[in-house]
Amino acid sequence: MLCERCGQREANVRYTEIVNGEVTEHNLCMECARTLDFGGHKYAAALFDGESQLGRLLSGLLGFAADPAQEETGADGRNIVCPVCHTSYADFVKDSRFGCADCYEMFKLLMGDHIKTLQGSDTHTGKRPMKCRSRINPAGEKIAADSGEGAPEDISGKQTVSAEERIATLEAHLKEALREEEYEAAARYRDEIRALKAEVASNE
Amino acid sequence: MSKWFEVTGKPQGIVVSSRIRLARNIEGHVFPGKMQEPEKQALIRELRQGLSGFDLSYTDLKQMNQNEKKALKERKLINSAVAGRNSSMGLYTSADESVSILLGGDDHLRFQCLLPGSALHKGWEIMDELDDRINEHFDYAFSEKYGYLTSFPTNMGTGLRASVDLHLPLLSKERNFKRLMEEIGRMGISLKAVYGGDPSENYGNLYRLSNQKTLGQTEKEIIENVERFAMQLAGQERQAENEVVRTKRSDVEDEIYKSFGVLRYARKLSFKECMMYLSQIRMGMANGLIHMKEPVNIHSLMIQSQPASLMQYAGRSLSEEETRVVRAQFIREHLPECELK
Repeated sequence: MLCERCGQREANVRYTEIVNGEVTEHNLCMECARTLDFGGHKYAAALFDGESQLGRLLSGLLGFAADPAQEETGADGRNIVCPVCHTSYADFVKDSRFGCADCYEMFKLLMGDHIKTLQGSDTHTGKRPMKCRSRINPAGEKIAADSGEGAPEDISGKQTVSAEERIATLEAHLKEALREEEYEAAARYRDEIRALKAEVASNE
Repeated sequence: MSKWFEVTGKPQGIVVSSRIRLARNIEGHVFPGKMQEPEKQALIRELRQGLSGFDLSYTDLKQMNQNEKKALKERKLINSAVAGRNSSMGLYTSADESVSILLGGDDHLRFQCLLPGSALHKGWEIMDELDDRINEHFDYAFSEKYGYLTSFPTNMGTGLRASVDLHLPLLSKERNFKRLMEEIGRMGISLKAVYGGDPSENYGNLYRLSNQKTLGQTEKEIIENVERFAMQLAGQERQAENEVVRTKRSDVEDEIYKSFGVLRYARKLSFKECMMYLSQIRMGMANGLIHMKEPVNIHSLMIQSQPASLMQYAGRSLSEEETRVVRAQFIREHLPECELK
């Protein structure tokens, strides 16, 4: 296949972007990919040229660079972009940092066991935040958030548990879909998970 | 009011100071690294509104010059990356600077407690409580699986960094110290020189022990783990010091009093020299080999001998050469006479 931009060189970079469940795919040659500014992020250039010390460390950990063939095709899902802060997985690997809380959800399947390698574990067992009981309104006065319906007793209700189980199942599907490179399905699962989580949160 | 590191009267032993730091982000905002200036300013305004009732004073880091920020870094209130940045950030500090909250650094909030001596548990108690108080005003970005969500994967989970600074003048001279450092690294704990990178180029023999892992252990476990290593190293250092005092007392005394002489009378001091001699004095005081006529905190002299702090002391910017002169002057003014036996 020829590069869709220059139409001359062989396309060896596949760029897949998922924004709000919308999948767009582009097939480009290395030269064009390098110069392109994808959605305001020059991460293609960074992907091929960027080699910070920390980046290399994490890249090594995440098992990229070792396989140049995979690096060129982007078949490992690194073109996934967080819809909230537009951090791509390549950005994440290069800078070793998340752009927002949603990046965790977006990249967690790609990170897989590497977090375990880095941290020695992949599950939090420490302190948990208490749910915010009072908030400050724009005038700076405190208002009680838990007055009216939604009494605090509801928080640990059965519904929450089953929703969490459903989320876990969906996450397994999502992981599977990403492994199979079925990005459309993955995006659907992700949206479902997000909706469920929002529902759980609003129930609290 | 004196700063936390200036307190005298407490034993100044091998464990110099303890630090507990927590990283937190607020739900519904991207992390600071992804924010444009106006967005960051709005976040800082929002945070300040929530923290307005806290008994802490606020500093706008954007209004500060490079040197003022460097001085904050030297007092361990911000890290060097933050000190080098010009974007909007805010810092809350308690009067003695033992408690501080950084707004809009790498995470929305990073708060820490610095205490003299071995005090990780006390530091954790203070930070745990501050964390709850902040949490009353803001919902944190948190996931059941990954815990507190932070910019760097190296902070996720507890967001906790527990560290202890140790004074290891003898242990660090031992041949297998470098190997010990690597060995400890494999246990999920890092041991690094506080000043100067390479162990052979370390100034003041201060070493920082801190947890590398933040996920999968409870805060208590992390703290106990760091503390256990700190106590082990401190115990070994103590043994080595006792041994040297027993077998080579006159040699050790000679080094300590020569160091004292240089510090008292030098007209120019490089940071390296200054730290090296202060380290000798600290060890001498801890082992009862030298007694000062007035109370003095050696760690405080170490902190204040750094370039940006000296510029604040002098009240003007200084060339490298002038810094050495002012450092010698500062030490002469602050290091008391010793008892002569």
